[in-house]
Amino acid sequence: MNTVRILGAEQQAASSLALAYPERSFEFLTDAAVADGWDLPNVTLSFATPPDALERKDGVALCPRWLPAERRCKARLGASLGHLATAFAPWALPVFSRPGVEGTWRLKGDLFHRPDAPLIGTAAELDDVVDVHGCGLAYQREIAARGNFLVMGLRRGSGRVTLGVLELLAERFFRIDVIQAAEIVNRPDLVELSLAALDILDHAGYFSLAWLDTDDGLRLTSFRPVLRAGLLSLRAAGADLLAEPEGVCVARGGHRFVAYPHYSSYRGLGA
Amino acid sequence: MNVLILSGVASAINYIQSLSGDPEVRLFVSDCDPYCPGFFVPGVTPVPLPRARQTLEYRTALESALSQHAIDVVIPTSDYDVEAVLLWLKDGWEPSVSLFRPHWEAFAVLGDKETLARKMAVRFPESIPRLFRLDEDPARLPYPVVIKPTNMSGGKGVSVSPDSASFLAARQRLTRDYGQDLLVQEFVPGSTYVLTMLYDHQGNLVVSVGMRSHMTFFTWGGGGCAGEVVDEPELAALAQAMVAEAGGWRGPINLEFRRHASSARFVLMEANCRLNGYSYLTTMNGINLPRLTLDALLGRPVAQPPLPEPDSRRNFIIGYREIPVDSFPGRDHP
Repeated sequence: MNTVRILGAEQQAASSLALAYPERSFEFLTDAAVADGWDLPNVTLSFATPPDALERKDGVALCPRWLPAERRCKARLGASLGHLATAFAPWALPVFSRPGVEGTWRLKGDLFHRPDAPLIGTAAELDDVVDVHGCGLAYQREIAARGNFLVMGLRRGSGRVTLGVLELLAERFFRIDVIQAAEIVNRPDLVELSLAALDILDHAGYFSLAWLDTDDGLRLTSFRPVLRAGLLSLRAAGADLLAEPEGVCVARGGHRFVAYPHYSSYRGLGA
Repeated sequence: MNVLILSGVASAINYIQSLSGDPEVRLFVSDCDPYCPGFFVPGVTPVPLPRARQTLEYRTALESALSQHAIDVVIPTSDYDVEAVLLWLKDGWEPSVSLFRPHWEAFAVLGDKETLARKMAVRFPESIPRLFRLDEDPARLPYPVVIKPTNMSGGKGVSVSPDSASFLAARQRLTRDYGQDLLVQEFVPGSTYVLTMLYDHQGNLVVSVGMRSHMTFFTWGGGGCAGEVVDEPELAALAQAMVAEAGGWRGPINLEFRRHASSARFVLMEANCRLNGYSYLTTMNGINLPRLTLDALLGRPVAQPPLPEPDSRRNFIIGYREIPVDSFPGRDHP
């Protein structure tokens, strides 16, 4: 089988993929000087920048920075949730380029997850934030939630989707966002709504949809055209995300995982 | 011997990995987070507890756990656990377990970022970032400046302000979240170093190891998630002198420094009264700090192990690897 090229291998999903598919070989490409994965027997690591990697076209991007330019435009939250806010009301929670005068707002990266700890506040309290990471800034109204879900998978067209619903139980936010603990759950309502949102977006490729369970019902808060961690558990639950979807395949509930801080030695990457 | 590690993340991972294969040791790990990674290591008994800063509930639950599990040794590994335990000891708590008992007066200096900086600035002025009042006129500050809570850990609330508008917004946001206990200081560009030391019950330094971060958890800095051990006698001497100035210590402690990018001087960022978060690096290099800590705690002789030769040293990176689990014991069986 061909080596799977992973673009943006500094993300947690990179080792998750390599662990999920021990029979496959992976080439991790990253523009980070240091990256995890050196002790994985089915992994090689190389330094690359998004423009270099994109010349070769193929690969699984784990961060929208590594998408081709034409796909990056559609990947912005402002574009995807902007479209869904009208076409998928009332489920999609809109984002704005500026926070409103009133209320509490959550600051997000427009193109990709904004690094470091989440920032939540009023417009005045968020006034200091500048876009040092190049992710773009998007503001979303902060809402209370009793549950946090991630619907993740691969879509090739309507009716050809493999996906799973993860209840996110704990996350950590560093340079990258880490899923600390999650459980695959049986939520037909989230599957149905997610498939509808993907149909509206006419999305092709990998996806992660973030949902909040609120007093007013489910609310879609994010769409990113990439995978996150949990792939070992999803495969065990019947969702093979390296295979082409045939029909709609939904991961079985009940599988759980945590992220364990794994120490290994590395060789430096660099330009 | 039943050993209770307080907290199940960061330096606790070093204790768990370094001691879990020892037939003499039965490991118990406490945390308020049912999803902390330390709960999921085979052989570890999870002990869910309230947050350490919920003082009364925490103490009641901890005393119950000590009794229920017949704990012999307690090792706090988070700043909040250290603070809670030392506060109770100051107030006369006499648990029937082995634990280090450093002086409260020393912890009051070392455990508070502003008190530490102001005290050390007298004797080590070149090794402390310039400090500013929280109500300083923003137009007069030399940007960039750092504004952060004085008593939080794990990088919580740290903000680097490049200009006065940014400083004003950050001050407003942090005051909302942390009150007035905020520290404003000079931003020090450069690499992050850690000097981890182990003192015995008499306050004698028995082990000292230097480390340097190659990458930090946050883009602005903070704890290291990749790095190496280093041989830096100047750093070791400075850190040991600072601990002495604070009144000495008993048990493990680490001081975090920035090496200034232009002057190359070491500048103190903070002290953490425990092993540093990525201290498993030392175990990877043959310096098993958890084992040495346990030996010192039990009054056994401890000697400084040598650093490996430079070409045999191992560096480290932390990756967050997906591990399937059957249940979440802290959630399903609290």
